[in-house]
Amino acid sequence: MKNSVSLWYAVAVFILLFAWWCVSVLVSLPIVPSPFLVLDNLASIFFKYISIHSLYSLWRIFSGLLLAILIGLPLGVFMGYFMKLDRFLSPVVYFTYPIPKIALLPILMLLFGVGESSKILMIFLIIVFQVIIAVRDAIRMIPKETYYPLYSLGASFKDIFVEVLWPASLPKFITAIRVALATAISVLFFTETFGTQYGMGYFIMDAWLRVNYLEMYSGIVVLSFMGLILFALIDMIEHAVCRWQYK
Amino acid sequence: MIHVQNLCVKYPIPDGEQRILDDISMEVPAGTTCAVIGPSGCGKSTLLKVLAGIITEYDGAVSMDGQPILPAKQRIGFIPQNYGLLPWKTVRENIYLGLKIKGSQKQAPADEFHAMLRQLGIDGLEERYPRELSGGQQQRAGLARSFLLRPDVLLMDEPFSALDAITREEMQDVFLALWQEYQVTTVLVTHYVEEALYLGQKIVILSSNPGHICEVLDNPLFGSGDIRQQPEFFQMGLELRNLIKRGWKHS
Repeated sequence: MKNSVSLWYAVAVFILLFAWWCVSVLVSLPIVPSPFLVLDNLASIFFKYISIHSLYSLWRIFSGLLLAILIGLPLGVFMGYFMKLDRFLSPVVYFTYPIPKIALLPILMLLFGVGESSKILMIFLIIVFQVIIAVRDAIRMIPKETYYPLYSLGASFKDIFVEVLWPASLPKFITAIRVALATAISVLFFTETFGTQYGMGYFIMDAWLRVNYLEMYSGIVVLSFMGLILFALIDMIEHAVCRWQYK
Repeated sequence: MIHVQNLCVKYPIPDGEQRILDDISMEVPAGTTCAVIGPSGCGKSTLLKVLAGIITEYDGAVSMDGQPILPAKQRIGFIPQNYGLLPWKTVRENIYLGLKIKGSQKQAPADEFHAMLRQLGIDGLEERYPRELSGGQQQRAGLARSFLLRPDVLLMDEPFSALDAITREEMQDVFLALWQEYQVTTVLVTHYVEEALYLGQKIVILSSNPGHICEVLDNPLFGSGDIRQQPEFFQMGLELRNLIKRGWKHS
C-alpha cells in the first residue's frame, strides 16, 4: 500500500515533467525552459537562495492556519451544537463568507501594515470560514440518538465534545482545510508581492522582473512541492486520526 | 426501585402541543425486569427517555430509589435501538466509555473486562470498530458497556428488534444470563409479544394516542428456564395478544 502510493507520486512527477519538456521543445523560447535546466538550477540555488523564502511562506501558512483553527473550530462547534447561537451567528457568517477576501487586502494592509500580520490574517480569513461551516454542518448531521447514551450517563459538555463532537467533525474539518489551503497558497503568493523581501511570492516575482526565467521556474517548482508536502501531511494526519473511516 | 406517578409528556408541535404520554403510573421493584409493550408511536421510547434522564420536561413525578432522576448522580445504563456505539471508537473504547464518563475507568480491572467479553463471546474483537461487527456483536458490546458500569438501572429500547429471529433468541438468552448474575433493575421496551413474555417479570401494555397504560400484569412464566417451546408459553402469548388487541381497540 505504502509503496504503491509513492509509486503513483513518482509517476505523476514523471508525467508532468514529460509534458513540460514537450512544451519546452515545441515552443523553444526562453520563457519555457527545459525542466532539466530548471531542476539543475534549482539544485544549485535551493539552499543558497530559495529555502529561506519557502520557510517564510510556510511560517505564514502555518500561523494563518493555526489561527483559523483556534477561532473557527470552537465557533463551528458552538454553532452546530447550540441551535440558538447558530440562528444568531449564521447570518453574520453568510454575509461575510462570500466577500472575496483578496478585496480586503488593502484594508488589512492599512490597518495592520504591510508586514507579517496582514499576510497571516489574509490566510486566516480564507480558511476560517470554511472551517466554521464544515464543522458546524458536520455537527448538525450527528443524529440526536448518538448523544442519548452520554446524556443518560450524565456527561458534561466537555465529555460530549471529546467523545462525540470532535471525532464526528474531524473528517469534514480536515477536508475543509484541504480545500481552503489551496486558495490560501494562491492568495499568499499575491500578498507576498507587497511589502516583503521574503516568501515564495516575492522570490518568483523578483526573478520574473529580473528576467531570470530559470530562477522563476525554480520558485514555481518549489511552490508546487510545498503544496505537495502540505497535502501529503494532511492525508497522513487524516489517516492517523480518522482510522475508523477507512475500515 | 423505579417509581412513576401520573407522568405526562407533551411535545411542542407547530399549532400547540401534542400529548405523547398521559397519566402513566407504574412501579418497577429493585432487581426485577419490566417489559413495556405497545404499538409504534405509543410513546414507549419517550417513557424510556424520561427514565434515562434524557427528557427532563414532564409533568408528574419520576423517582429512582426515592431520588429524582439525575444522570450525573445515578448510574443509568441506556441501550438505544442502534446500541449506541460510537463509530469512531473501537469496541474496547466503546465499552469503557460508560466508566470513563463516570470517572472510574481505573476501578474496572482488566480481568473483569476480559471476563465480560468472554462471557459475551466478543473477546478478540476489542480493537475492531463497530461497523466491522455484525448486529449481534454490536448488541453484545452495548450490553458489555452497560453491565460493566454496574448500573442502578438498565434501560433498553427495542434492544433485539434489528436482529434476525435466531440471533434475537440467542441474545435474549445472553441478556438473561447476564441479568441473573447482576440482578439489575431493568426496563425494556419492545413490540414483540414473545420478547415481553420471555424477558419481563412484569409486563406493561401501552396503547397510543396519547400513550397510556391499559394493563399491567405479572408474568408467571418469567425465569422458568427455556419456556419458549412449552405450550404454556404459546397459551400466554395468545392471551397477551388478545389483551393487547382489546386495549388498542378501546384507545
